Amino acid sequence: MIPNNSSEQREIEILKRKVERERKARQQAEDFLEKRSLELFEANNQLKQFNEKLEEEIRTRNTQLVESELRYRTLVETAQDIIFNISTDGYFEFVNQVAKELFGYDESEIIGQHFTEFIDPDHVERVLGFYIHFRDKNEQASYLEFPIITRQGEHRWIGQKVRRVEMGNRVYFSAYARDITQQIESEKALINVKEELRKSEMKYRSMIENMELGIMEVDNHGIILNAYDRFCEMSGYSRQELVGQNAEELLLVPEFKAVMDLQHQQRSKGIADTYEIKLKRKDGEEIWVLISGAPFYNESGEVAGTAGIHYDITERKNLERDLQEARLKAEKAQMAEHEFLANMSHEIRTPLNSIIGMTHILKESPLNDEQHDLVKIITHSSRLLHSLINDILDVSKLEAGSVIIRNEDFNLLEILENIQNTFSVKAREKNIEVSLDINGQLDELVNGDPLLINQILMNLVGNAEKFTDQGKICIETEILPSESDDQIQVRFAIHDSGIGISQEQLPHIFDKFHQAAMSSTKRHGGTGLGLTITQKLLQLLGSEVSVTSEEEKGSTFSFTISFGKTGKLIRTKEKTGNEWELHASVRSKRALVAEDNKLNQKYLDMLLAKVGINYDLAENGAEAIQMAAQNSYDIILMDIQMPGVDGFEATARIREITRYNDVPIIALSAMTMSSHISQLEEAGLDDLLPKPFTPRDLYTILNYYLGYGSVEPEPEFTESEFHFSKELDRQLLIDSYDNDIEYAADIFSTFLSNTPDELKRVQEFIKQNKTAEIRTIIHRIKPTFQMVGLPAISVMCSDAEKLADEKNEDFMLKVNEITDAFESTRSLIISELERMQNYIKQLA
Amino acid sequence: MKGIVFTEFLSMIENQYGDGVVDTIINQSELPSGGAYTSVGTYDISELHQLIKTLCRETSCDSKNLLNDFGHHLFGTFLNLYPEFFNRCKHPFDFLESIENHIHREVLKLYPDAELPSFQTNRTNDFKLEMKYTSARHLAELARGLIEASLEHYKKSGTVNSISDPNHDSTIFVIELNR
Ligand code: HEM
Repeated sequence: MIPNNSSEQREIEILKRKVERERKARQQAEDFLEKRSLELFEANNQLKQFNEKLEEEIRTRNTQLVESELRYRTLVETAQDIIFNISTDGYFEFVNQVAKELFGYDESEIIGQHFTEFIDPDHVERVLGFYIHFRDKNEQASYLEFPIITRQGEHRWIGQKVRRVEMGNRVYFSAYARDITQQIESEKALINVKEELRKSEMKYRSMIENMELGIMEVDNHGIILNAYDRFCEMSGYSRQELVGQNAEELLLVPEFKAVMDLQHQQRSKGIADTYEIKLKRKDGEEIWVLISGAPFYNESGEVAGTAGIHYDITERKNLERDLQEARLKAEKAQMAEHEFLANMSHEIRTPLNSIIGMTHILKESPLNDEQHDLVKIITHSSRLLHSLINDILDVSKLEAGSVIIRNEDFNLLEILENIQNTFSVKAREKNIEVSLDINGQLDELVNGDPLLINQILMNLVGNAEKFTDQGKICIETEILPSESDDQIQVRFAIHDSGIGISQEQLPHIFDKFHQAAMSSTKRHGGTGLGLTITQKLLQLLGSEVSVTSEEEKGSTFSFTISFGKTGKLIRTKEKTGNEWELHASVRSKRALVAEDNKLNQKYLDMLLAKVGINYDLAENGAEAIQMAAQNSYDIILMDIQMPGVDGFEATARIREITRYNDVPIIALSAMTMSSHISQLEEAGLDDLLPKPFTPRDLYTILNYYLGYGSVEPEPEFTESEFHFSKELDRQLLIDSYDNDIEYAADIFSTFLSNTPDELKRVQEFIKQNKTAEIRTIIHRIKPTFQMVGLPAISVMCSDAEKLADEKNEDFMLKVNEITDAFESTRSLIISELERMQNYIKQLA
Repeated sequence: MKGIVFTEFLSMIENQYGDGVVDTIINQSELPSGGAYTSVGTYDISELHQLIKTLCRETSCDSKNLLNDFGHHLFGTFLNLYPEFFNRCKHPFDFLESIENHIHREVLKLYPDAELPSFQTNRTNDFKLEMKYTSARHLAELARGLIEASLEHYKKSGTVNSISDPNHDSTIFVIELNR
């Protein structure tokens, strides 16, 4: 199609014009740019020229400077120099002003005189000879130094340049001379000083030589420059044999090459040093020498070589070696002893554990009285044997230095309370009170080794308990003023009202196998190693135990330990009476409780009902997930160890539901190891409420996570009129039940119906050696002891768990101890329950 | 007047009205350059006034509005070409203050023959700025467009009022930002 349409035609024209304009514009732009680059080129050129001009200017100025300086210098020089002319046969023909001044004669007194007249007579012959030679050989120029004598009789040295001058037929000598007296004198002085130096050096050398020190000097290439008598004696070579030899090749025992190389490096940097090497004597014998090497310098201050002072230490070395060998032998023997002990203890422990275990089972079977007594003796003896072996193992570990000190943050207060609880149970049988007295604030975690502290306290309190038959034991701590801000100093003192220690015995109580009254081992049991171990442990921690004692009155063991401060507060559970403070806003919240343990369910029910919190109960993890999905909760309390889906998994699954992203989920668990805690965080749990917990613990957590409003104290409860038995932990029970005796009775009866079954199952598992299953049960029943006022047994459960985790053979023993402890307190719990039921009936 | 003003002006017209109108107004104006502009070149300011006059006659638009639109357009061009000038500032007043002392100074280094206006500024606070434009080329409406576009660029809204003083070739802009 041909574009004949007029609008199309117009479009083409518009385009054509547009293209034409573009072309023109481009042309303009190119012109502009070309102009610009030309300008640039020009500017560059000018710059370059300007630069060159500048350089040129600098150059000329420099030459001018040099020239003027030269001119100046010549002027000065001519003014200072002596200038004179002498005929070929030695008579003065011309002298300048400077010459006259120096000689001290007038011009007339000099001109026409022979030059030798003015020279120091001692030098005339030499000077004359020199110049006759100069003249006869027709040499052009010469230089010579000699002294002249002035009119005043002074000696002045001059250095003189003489030039032969030929003027037409006439020949004469033109001399320029300069007074060099000062130079000559200072040179002489230098020579004197050098001589002095050499003399004193000699003196020192001979002194050193007399001190049985051999001196040898080598140059920078190790070639011997000089060797003094004592060194020759030492090496067995004569001086002649040594000088010129390479010192290392001749003398060094090859294995010390590396030591020498290092020394060379040091010496080249001008560093002096002392070192020990072996040298080979001419007769082939090897000797040890102590060498003190120092660089020495030549006149121009460069290192010219090394002077080495050698001292024969062969004898000392031999002694050292013998000593070392002896020590090694002794150490080996000691190590072997430790190893033997460790092995033996282990070997003995394994069968012993089965003896103890089997005895225990035997005890449960039907026995007649005599058999029962026999079994009791076996139990007692094997227990004693067992603790003896443990102690021996501890001592040997300590002596072998294989105890590692840990540094971790821990709750010192808790350790103290646990120890108090543990010994309270034991001591109660003897009617002894164990009290804990804390002076000062122990409200933060401290950093140190909780295991060692625990062991030390256990030993000392155990010791006190062993030797005390009446009265009381007091564990006292005191926070001392500390020198540094990041340390806390704690003084511990364990007082007892026991049999005491006599003055003669006192110094020996820390000796191995020593027990104060020699016969007391029989009376009091134990190995006699406890105090030794305690002392050694304290030494490890940089502390020491001190003892004061009075016979028949009691003893006090005390020590001070400093811990690191952590600034981490222990979550408060101060006992401020019985009022509970729960934020008002908390009560309107809804909670989900996932817990499989019936007793715990009841406990939680009581606590939550008390403060009016609505909650739903999930019996296991799967149920918890389902309920969380169906309802909406403000907080979830999650038991960790549940059958099937455990607390970790349940939490992770609940977190997947979007509306639970920020809802607090609190773990309820008896596991409080730090590894577990990090596992909690990973699983998405916000916090841990360690079991067993008091109501206050729970409310603190609830307030923290749910409460925003003001604090509204609950009305104060009057103290329960029901008094729990002294043999139980009363304060704990009051805290837990808070006057709700009906509820307490409920818990006590559940405890009595559950625990024996659980322990029976434990016994079955012991027979089948099923550790894992036993551990699970122990873990489950651990909190229940606390709830009936027996925290000491809870502590034993924790210990047992720890042993199981460490695969320690003592686990089974601990489990048996728990069973025993339960059995011995069972009747107490039963009577307590009866009393409670009576009390309730009375009220009704 | 630098060529970029012309090339950008024509490109705005072409976008708005098509290249037919561009062709027409070039033909109908008397332009020494013949309407062939390059951004690096320099042309007489009267050519711009002529183009504006012809265009307003052809399309019966208002020359003030046209210059204002051109200001907005030119701002976009500068933003594209020299983003660093804009990124240096966080507040539109900082930017506007920097025209006199920084941006136009840089322009002069590049094009010594550029004919630039002068701006005197007086900031009362971060919400009020007075800006006195002085230029023999009387392109206050262009300046207004540029100022408005600046505010938009920094995501600020407000009013730009002005008082002109033709005897002294100057216009005072009073820029007030909404709080
Ligand atoms: C990065 C930003 C800017 C650049 C690179 C720039 C550059 C330029 C250039 C190259 C010219 C032309 C000069 C000539 O033709 O000889 C010009 C003129 C002008 N500029 Fe800017 N400018 C910028 C921002 C602004 C702003 C924000 C304003 C507004 C207040 C402004 C106001 C003006 C005015 C009104 C003119 C016209 C000449 C006159 O009235 O005398 N400029 N500018």
